[in-house]
Amino acid sequence: MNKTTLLAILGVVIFAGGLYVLSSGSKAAPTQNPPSPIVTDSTSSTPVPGTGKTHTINYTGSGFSPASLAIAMGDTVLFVKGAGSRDMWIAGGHHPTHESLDGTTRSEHCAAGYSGPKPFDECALGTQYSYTFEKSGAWTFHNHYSDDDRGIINVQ
Amino acid sequence: MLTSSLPTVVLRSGLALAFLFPPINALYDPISWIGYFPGFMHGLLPDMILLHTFGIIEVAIALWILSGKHIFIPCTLAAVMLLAIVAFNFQDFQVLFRDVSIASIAISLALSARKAEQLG
Repeated sequence: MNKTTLLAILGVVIFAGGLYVLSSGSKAAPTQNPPSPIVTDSTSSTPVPGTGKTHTINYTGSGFSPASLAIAMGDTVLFVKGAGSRDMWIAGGHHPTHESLDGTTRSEHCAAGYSGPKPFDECALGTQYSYTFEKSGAWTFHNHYSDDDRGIINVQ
Repeated sequence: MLTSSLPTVVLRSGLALAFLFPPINALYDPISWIGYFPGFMHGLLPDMILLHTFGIIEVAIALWILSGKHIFIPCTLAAVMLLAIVAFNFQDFQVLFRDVSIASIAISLALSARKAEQLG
């Protein structure tokens, strides 16, 4: 194996290692909008299954607040665009495909005439968007217009 | 010349495609693409002006690469832009990892072009 090949392999290994470290680090320290510790809505101290509470997440110039939220199945989250914030389009999953809780993508569930379950996707710019979570799990969301702004909702 | 061999033409075409598709698709789906701009860039210019100005730069880079003439500069720019996109959108690495591979193509072409220029 000649020196050039060895250097190339070493370079790839170092690069891959750097990516791994960055990837691990990004989970611990998100770039612009670090999620706050998981909090419950101020209206209830303990989530109660099936109560259908509404929790509000505000979208400001600094991102989503709170960026992490723990709710019960059947609860609704209301996203509200605040003054001075960027345009808002709430969507779940990864940008820009928005794989929804039911597995559909933006091109499917935002298409005209879509008759499936309501997706976790606003499908257009707006000032308010609400979604009722009927499935337990950790559901990430982001602003389709500014992918840096993200958060997570833990449905228990 | 190294830059006009068939393998190099194929690589240049592939790289150019990576810089032609986004600005063209942005004409039909601008919001998806503006979403990739990091937060600090929003507000510097109106978002659509920012998006389409960036698109014009991407088209210029693509056409320059396709021309095959002195492509060290556009290939280097392409690599820098691709790696910056990955760095500023690292949370989407599951989608953007391919940009790293495309950047390596750009770097390879830049190095080949530099070598070709040095050989005269």
